[in-house]
Amino acid sequence: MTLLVDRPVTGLTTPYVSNASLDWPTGLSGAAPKPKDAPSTSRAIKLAIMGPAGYVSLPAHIRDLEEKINRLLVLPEGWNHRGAKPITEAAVESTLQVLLALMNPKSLPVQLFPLPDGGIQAEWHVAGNSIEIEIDGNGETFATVEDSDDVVIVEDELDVTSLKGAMKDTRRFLSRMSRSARLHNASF
Amino acid sequence: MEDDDSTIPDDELLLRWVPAFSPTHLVRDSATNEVIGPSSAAFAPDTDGASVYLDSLVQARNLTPVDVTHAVTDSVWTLPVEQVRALNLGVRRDPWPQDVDDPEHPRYAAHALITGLIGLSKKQRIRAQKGLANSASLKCVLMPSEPN
Repeated sequence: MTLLVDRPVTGLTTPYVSNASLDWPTGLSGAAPKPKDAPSTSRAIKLAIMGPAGYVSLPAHIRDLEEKINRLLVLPEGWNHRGAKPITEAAVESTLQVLLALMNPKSLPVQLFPLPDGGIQAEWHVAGNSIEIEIDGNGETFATVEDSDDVVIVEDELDVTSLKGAMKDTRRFLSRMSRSARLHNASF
Repeated sequence: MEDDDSTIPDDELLLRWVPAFSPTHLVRDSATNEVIGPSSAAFAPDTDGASVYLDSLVQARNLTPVDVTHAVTDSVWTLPVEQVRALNLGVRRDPWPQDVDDPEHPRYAAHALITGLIGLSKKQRIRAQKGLANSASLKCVLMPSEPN
């Protein structure tokens, strides 16, 4: 699989499913219980960047994304205590395509939430400005971008093959939010 | 609104459990890290609607908000039925659902569903979920402390 990126990040590896065993979280009473039909193998992605002289270390924002996706991939079927599906590979692939196209090393960290259909929701919020991207279990994406006056900037599907339209507007808004956050918090 | 139980009064409160950690459905301000409230993802419907509990029936069973949680890491939020209906959604009773981990738990006498999300266009459904999550009437009644 080739992931779409529009900057010099090359050779991202295909998400893979490993055969390693998984220790289900049990440290908190009742938290994320192992269901009867829990998968017997762990699921994780491993991202890598190939430079001219071999693999290079991942930028912090890509490492953060990898870690957050992997936290969602351990969720078992029924993680919402009803019929929620595990996160799908289609959702992971679309999430990577969209977020790698939208984010850069100066972007605010993304917040990721699981969806009952196996999808992933990505969000950023700063002082009333918000970006919400729903990536459903089939990998289809829909973005809602609103400013702090509740003016809708984007409310549309995202086409990751084009950096125009909704993709362009969403990326621009994320850059603006990230700049604004850095002005108020030097740790970004 | 089709599939809205008119015997449920507008001033009935709905209880909704929202995981706060591992995984979380609580949104934080990306700059300050303060919790803003539930993500619209917390109101994404299952195959039959978004699961809630009727507060009057919870109280009638001498249960409290903590009884509608599934884990010590869950928060609980209330929302008046009136607010749900204002978004052109409905509420219907769904006692004793069988597609749950623990169908005998007494809380399920109060189980209900927010209806009307399924069948909307994606744009309309996401707007409705955002309307629920961003409602000024949405109140937190139980917030767990952060696990060590």
